[in-house]
Amino acid sequence: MRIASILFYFISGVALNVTVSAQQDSSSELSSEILEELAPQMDKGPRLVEELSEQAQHVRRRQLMGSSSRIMPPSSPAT
Amino acid sequence: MFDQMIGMSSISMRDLFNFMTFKLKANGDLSFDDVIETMELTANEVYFKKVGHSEFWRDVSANSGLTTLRVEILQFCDAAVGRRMLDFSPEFSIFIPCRITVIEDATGEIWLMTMDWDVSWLAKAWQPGSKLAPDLVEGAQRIRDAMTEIMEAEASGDW
Repeated sequence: MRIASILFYFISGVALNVTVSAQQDSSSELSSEILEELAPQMDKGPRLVEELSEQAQHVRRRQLMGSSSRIMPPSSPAT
Repeated sequence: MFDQMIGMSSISMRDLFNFMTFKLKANGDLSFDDVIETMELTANEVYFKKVGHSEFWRDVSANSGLTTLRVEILQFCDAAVGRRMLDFSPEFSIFIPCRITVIEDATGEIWLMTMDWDVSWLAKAWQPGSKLAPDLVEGAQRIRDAMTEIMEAEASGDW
């Protein structure tokens, strides 16, 4: 029983470590490439979301979805 | 008066704005530029003059430095009907010219919106200051039909 518990914690620890490492890799990728693309750039003039790379565009659209209200369904059919 | 109305009403601000809006979702096959082009062509067909075009998103992005979603506002006018409405009520000038907004939402879908000009309920107005000449009512109806036609052409992609 005690050996089983030790094995369980060991395996859980390894799994958790792998997960955290993967997340760190993912976030560092975001910070180095995408976050730079998403940062305000006053010298570039007006820019649309679709001018971003596909990955940055995905992040930006998620940001905008969180910060602005969704368009409501029409209140009544066209008259 | 407005503070009393909003205080008594259970309708939210967003619901109120939505209630005042006529909107359609654009055909998913059309790009934003296609939608604008269709709108302009259809306006010509129904003899409705385009008098303005605001690329609002440019100011939003230039002022923030951030990428933004596209939103543009096109303005149309029938000067003859507009002038007659101003003769009836100069305060009506706050509603002209007619506007149609083309707006992209965060999911990438394109919407067309305008003020809902369905004023059929005005027929029930009895006050002396509420009576419009029948031909002016017809002119107002023609404008509403033109606005609807412009928007529905974009929504279907036909022109």
